[in-house]
Amino acid sequence: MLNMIKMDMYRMFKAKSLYVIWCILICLLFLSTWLIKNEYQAAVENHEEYRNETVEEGEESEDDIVFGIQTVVPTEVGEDITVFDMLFANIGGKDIALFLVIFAVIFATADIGSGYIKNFGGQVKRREGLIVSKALALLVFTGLTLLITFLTQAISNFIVLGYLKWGDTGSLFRYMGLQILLHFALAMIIMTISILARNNVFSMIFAICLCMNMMVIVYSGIETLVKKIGLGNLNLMKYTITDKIGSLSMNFSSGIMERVMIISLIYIVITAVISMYIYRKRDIC
Amino acid sequence: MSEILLETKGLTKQFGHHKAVDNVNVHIKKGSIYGFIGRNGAGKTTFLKMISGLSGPTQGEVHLFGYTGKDLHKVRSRIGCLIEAPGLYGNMTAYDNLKIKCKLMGIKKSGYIEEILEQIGLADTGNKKTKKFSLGMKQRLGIGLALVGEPDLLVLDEPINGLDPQGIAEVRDTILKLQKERNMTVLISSHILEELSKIATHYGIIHNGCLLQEMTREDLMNCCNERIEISVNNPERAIPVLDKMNIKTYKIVGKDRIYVHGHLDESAALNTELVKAGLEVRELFIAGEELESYFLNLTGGAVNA
Repeated sequence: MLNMIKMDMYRMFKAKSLYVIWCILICLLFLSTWLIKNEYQAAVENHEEYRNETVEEGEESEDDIVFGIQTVVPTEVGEDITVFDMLFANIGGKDIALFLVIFAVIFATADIGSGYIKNFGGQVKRREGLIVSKALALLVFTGLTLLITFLTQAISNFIVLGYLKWGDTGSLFRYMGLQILLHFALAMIIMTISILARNNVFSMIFAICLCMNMMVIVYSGIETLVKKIGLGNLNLMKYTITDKIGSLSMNFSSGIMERVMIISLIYIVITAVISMYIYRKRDIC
Repeated sequence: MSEILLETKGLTKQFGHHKAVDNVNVHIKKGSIYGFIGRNGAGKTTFLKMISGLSGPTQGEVHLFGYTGKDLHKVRSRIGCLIEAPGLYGNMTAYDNLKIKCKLMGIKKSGYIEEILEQIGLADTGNKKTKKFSLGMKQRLGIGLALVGEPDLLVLDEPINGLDPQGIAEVRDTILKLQKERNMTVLISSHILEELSKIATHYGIIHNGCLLQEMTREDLMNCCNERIEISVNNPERAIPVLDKMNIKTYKIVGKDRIYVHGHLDESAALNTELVKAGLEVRELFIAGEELESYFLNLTGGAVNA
């Protein structure tokens, strides 16, 4: 098992796509900071309210569903934009999630797509161990990506805004920790879809649709069906990882933290079990 | 050489209603080069995938190094395989591709990868990405990957497919070297019988998923070799004549028959010399068939080839 983990770690850090994704992400974070700075300055000059959506403290936001990617900082006019504000805007806007799912598809299917798995698939004692090693690699990638996001955001705030204010650091680290878990759960979902579908194009489109809330159409169809059957009102969106990533507030209560952690862990366990089962049962073509 | 390293009993793989491999029983001896011959779609790859653990059988058993069933995983790491086209990470170098497999096998020995690269003739590829490799180079790297971990059984599926004559010769030499130096058992499939006949010590012929025949190189040569068959009244008296003509590859069969292997273009001269020596030549003709025709006859004739 340890060798499998070493192998997947080596493969991940040797993959060009990893560095390409991180480079684009860093550029995008700088661009995002610069755009927000301009927008914010314009709002201050015009004495307009910059942000028209308020997030209740300690609650998950109940905003209307936004299709695509939206970056909104929670800073009130007159206040300084903190690193936490920017991170909240970028992570909650699912910018990071989008990069993560793209890498998850590329990484999870690389050994199958290239046929490299044929070189060792029959030699490993437990093939399902490859899922554990892939999952751990994705966890490392998720952690590093959010760490890079954090550092880049701090640097870009300092360079672009001309000052560095962290915001409430306690809440910031709690928020980042929970987002790592949520993003990892999302990566696991995408990995499972990729393994199931065995088609990179389909998996990539599905992953992007998921990040852009396009799946709402499917959810509402199921909800309507459930209502028609007479099983009551169901709100599927409430139980999705993408919704949790977007709606997690800056100062969430411990109740929300528990709920989000349980949902994330359920997704991680279910997707891992499904992927392991497929790997064990499916022939390697 | 007599120890059976790999044996299958009733090995079957079914896809829907189609049996790709049907009740195959092979016996592969340690240290042998087992040529698995069959036309395209005969079931060679499916069979090799089951042996390599990439695919599970619908029915039947695989006995490998004395292990079978659930215990097979104990010896799976002793197999190295190259199935169909080599599976490589195109954006990585040959070194990186080998390094990944080394990580999995837990090999940390310094100079190990360089040694394999040297062995497969890719030592000078440097930072060249494998996507820029020629087919022959990819094929050799595929063999190199199969060699990581010093397997006792090397499974090669059509390793000479698409190679130019030089590439074929290189792959052939590599296999012979491995078998000789490491006493490695090699299971190699091909539909090119002529090429296989240059290295294989044993053969299995598969057709429509069924194993038609298992034979040694000698058996096959006896069946296939074109030869001059002579019927004379006293074969013993023909020996000095054959020696005089520098013919060494002959065999006396029964009371009145001699098989002369090769020297087909000397049949007329041979007849003359035998008659001059006072022998009564009752019959002299060229018998046997080419490897290709033998295979085609066995698998249903040239029409289906």
